[in-house]
Amino acid sequence: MRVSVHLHGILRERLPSAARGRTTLELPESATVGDLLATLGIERRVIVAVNGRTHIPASHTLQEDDQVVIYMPVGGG
Amino acid sequence: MPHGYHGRVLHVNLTSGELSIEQPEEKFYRKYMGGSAMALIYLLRDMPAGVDPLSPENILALFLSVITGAPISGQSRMTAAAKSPLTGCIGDSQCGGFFPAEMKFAGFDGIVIKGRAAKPVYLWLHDGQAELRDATHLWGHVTGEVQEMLRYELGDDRIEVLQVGPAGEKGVRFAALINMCSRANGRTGMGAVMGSKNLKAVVVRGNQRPSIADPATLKALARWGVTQLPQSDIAGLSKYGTSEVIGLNNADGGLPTRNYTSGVFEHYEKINGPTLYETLLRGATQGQQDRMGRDTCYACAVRCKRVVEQTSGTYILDPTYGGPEYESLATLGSYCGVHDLAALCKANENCNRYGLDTISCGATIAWAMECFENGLLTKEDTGGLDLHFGNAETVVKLTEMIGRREGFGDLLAEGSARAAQRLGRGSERFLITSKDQEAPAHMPQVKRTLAVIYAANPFGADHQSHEHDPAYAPYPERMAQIGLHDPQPPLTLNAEMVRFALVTQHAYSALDSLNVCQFVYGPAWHLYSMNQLTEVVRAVTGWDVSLYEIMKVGERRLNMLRAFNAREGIGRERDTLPERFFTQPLKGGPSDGYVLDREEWQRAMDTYYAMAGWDVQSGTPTRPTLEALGLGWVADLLGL
Repeated sequence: MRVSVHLHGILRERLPSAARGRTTLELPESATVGDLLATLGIERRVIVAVNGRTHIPASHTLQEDDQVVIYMPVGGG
Repeated sequence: MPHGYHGRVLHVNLTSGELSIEQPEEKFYRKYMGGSAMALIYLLRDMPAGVDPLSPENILALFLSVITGAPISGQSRMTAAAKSPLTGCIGDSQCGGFFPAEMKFAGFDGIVIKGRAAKPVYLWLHDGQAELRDATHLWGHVTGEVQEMLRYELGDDRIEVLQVGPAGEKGVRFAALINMCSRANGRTGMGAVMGSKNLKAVVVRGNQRPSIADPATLKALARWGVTQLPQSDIAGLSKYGTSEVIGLNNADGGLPTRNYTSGVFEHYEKINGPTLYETLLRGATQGQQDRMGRDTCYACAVRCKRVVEQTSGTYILDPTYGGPEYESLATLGSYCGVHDLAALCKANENCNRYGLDTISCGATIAWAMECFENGLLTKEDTGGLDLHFGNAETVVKLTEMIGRREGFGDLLAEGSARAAQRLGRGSERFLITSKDQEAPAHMPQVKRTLAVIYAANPFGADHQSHEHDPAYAPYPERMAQIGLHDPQPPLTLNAEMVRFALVTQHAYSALDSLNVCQFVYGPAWHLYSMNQLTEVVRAVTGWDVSLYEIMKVGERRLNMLRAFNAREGIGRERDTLPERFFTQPLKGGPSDGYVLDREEWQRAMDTYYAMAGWDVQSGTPTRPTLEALGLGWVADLLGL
């Protein structure tokens, strides 16, 4: 299944700079958020939003065409 | 001899011109450690209640801490405290840069300023010496000009200058203190207080570096930070600056847009950190922005500060004035519906040039824009300016007009709450203020404990006074250091989240007492943990200090700030939030429909006061609470 992924902040550097943090990934059926993070090699503490719902847990099973946004829990500024 | 500090506090009476040096005992430093914990001793003890904040009777206190100037990241910060002309409550604000460390090297731990000079003066501190000098020739000049004039006059390019711009001279109620032309004690109008005293600048230079008790341990801690930085959770802040937070908050549905009516900005990518990095950072066109466009504070490896430059186009950008932080981009940007990044950099430059708090400035313009959109303000009121949301040219123009108190800018220079009072016409319903201070760009509708801290914070709505909700769960080891073990689901505002708010408020209050950077040290995503901060204080001072002791300093400061307000007759009745937060659901994005529940918030506030040891009805610290913190003398002052 294919999911679209948008990485924010320093996480963008997982992808080529021309991608500007956006990519589409092919994942096995019943892949979870945790599987997606492992595929991207993200070991940092992150917040994941799926289809506009924030704070989705790593155990959540993804669906075809899901839109996933990943960002850091950094506050302040 | 003490380690880390001098044991010297300068007292300045501007009315008489008298300068004197106090040498407090070690207990003073150990019990209060620095910042407004120290400043409030003088404000509570030496200033009567009820003074006009812009009168000579107000006291402006500038304090470093026992570790300011030590060779490690994140320690070069200084607190300014006085009664605020914006809120009528205690005013409190921190700055970074090189000024704080240089002030320590000039031989002083703090400065207590009273009275008003008969004509403009500046204070020149150098190698333990202090003198007042004529500043008539500096008055009316913008910050960049004044810095150059002082460098020439004193024959030294390495002086550091803390100054008020024209905004502070003219009593703009959210005027800032500016150093390096790009760092600000931004909030609560400390620039207006210094301007009202005819004190144009404090200039520092020196080589009196206090000794470090354990240099080897401090060096090891400093090296650890440098090594860990690339893998740390502030790596993004390091590369992209705080403007990285534009994208993070927008993803969370928490980027205030069009005066807090939405938490998502459709144009956020045009104003976020990576875009700034790739386009307007100095050196970006040659790929040299890491070397040329990132600046730092004294001895800090993080280098999160921005420097922008543009030599052609509509907006010429002068690198002298640095570059925008997250809060500046959000309040002047999405808060006002503006997505022209060069215009926002220019508006930020104007704030630094005239000496304005970008947060109150942007949010006050956003309030005026919503009034204009709803017909409460017209072009007749604004002198022909079009104030529709999204008008970048207007935002840039207004930053100048406010800084000079010109035309319509004179009304906005009062801050949005007073401006609404003057305007009438029902315009107060568009205010986004707590204690008359404009709310920063972190949304209580999305991070619920902000609803408690924005309301209860003694110096008005502030986003740097506790940890934000999303950081509770991901950092269990660090949270456990301060006794927090039970993160709650998002959007929860129960007793445990109130406890999280209060305990982390004590932690952040300790950070502000020690005057350390809240990106470099803290209880969650920060480079160093609270335990490591304790190690730093031990290494610098040689004291056998504990984290318990440091947390108590934070709690002590918070109670002193709150006690100042109580003495002014200010209590729970001013711990309010904008009505919109309870009545108008956010529109669009992940936070669509989010609104605060008033009853839940009131219960949380009751719980907060009770946990803090304050009277639940009045919100005032009780005598037992003050005495438990060694503040019986404050209870006496309050007549408790």
